[in-house]
Amino acid sequence: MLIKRFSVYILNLSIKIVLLLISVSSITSLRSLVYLNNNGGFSSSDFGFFPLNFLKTVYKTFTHLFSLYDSTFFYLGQEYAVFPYIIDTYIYTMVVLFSAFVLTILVSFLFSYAFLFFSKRFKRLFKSLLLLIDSIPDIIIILGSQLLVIQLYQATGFKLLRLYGFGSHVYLLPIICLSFVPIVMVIKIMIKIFEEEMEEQYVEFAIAKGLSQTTVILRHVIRNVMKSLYSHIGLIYWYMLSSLFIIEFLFQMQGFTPLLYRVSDSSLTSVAIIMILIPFGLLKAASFRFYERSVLND
Amino acid sequence: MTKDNRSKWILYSIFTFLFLLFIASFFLEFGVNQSIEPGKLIYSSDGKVLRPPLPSSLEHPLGTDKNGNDLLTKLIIGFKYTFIISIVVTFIRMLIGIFFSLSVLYFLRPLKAYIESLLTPFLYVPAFILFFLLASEEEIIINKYGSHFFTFYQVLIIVLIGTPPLIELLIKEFELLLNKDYVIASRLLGASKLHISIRQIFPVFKQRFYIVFLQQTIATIILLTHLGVFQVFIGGKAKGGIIGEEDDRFLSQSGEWGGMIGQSIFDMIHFPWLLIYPACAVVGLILLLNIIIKRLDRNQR
Repeated sequence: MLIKRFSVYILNLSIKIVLLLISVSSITSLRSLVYLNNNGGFSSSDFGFFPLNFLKTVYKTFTHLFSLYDSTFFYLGQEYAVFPYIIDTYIYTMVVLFSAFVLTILVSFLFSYAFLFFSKRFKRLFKSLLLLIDSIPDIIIILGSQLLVIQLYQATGFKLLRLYGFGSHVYLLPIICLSFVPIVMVIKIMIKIFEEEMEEQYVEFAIAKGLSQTTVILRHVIRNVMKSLYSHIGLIYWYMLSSLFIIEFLFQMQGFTPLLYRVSDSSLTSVAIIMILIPFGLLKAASFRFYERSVLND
Repeated sequence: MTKDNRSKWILYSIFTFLFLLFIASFFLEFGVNQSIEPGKLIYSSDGKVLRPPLPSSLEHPLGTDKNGNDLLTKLIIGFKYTFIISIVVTFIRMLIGIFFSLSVLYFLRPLKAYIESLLTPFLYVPAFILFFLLASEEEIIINKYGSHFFTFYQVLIIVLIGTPPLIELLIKEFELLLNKDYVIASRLLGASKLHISIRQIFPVFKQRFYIVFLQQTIATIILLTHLGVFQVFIGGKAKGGIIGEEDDRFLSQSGEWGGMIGQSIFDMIHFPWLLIYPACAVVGLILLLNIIIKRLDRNQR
């Protein structure tokens, strides 16, 4: 019985993984659906609708996935070996991404915690401020911060932060830019959850019992807030990911994301897409485990 | 009562403002006879030659762009393209999204888990990467079918790349509605799928529809700015500079706002107003849409 259930589970999982691989290969082969590349060069020779060509490319991409580890690729006219390059840039990008992620959670938690102690009028002001900041697209935040640093440098000769990568690694400004918009998003979500949670009966009971508000929040409310926040993690990660591409482009960082759109090898791009989705999958699985356990505990 | 009135008043004034801007946008491009070439070189009082782009002055409140055009006029003209593109894209997306999500829920229920895992990468790969894959090489398309088709193709791609996330979202929304007691009761009484969709789902979904629509519109506007940063302009590229002196830099042909931001990111240091004013315009537009969303959301509750 157990073995049967286990084998069904494995079968289901492997079907899903194969579907995922096919899906990713078909995404990276999309170019051949509309462009025909006869001469084997970088530029295509014809435009139209070529479903057969597309299926062939999907097959080629899919089979090439498993022999990628010793090949090379071209990026900005230079040839790189796949292996050290992909790992090095991946680590750098993930460090930036995860620092921004942690920063987002910490800062937005601090703000929404402080929000609980604001006066009623200040709460309304704060909310309309959030609405205003929420309307600024990430690009404008990035460009604005660059402009600010440059103007500051021109005016005072004081170099506040390193702006551009050019080979070496920059961390501070990209991390701040990357977490700015998500912070606003998470604050908005957290405030909503906090406000709903504070009206629950157990909070009233705890306060009536004589516990201070700080204890109630830190001991009891936070757990439930975190639980609700876990369902939004996917959205936050996705948002950061799409800003990451622009940040690495505008700060000229030697990162991982150019592999997804600047390289003509579709198998490499597929691997890059899968690699960038892995942390997200882990996060989701972890949050699911967490959720399951807390439900079981209840 | 008064609060309700204020809410309505705000909504109407936003709509009127957008409508007037829209009319002005058409009027400025097609109504006014623009036979006068913008002044290319201007001599200042002490005999120096000033080249465009010029910073803001009394004559040009927002300054001029690289070709010597007034930036304010350019922004108003560009508004209609941004607006039309984002509204049309969103409308088609919603139609496709509603159709597909309902048909998945009605007819392909057993396959739903597999369809979702097939769609997952499309959800998490940023949209402009898909755009790059499908519409990056412009010359071939323009040479073969002309620039009008190219614009149409770009808009089509923007529609298609945004649909999978929308389908996912709508599937979740509709599933909630389909599991409501009154819908189940109606199905048990023998209502057809069409009847359930028209009589039970849509009246409830209508309020949500406007909010999702506006959110999608904002997402499209942001996508346009993202594409602009990577020098992809809807409607194609135009030669930049006064006399085309910069061969590798291009301007947005249509002058829609995302493109206007994108075309000036390299001039950020020398001519910051070229970037700041379009950026303010985009932020303002998104803010107005956000205010509408907030009002609708409040009315709904």
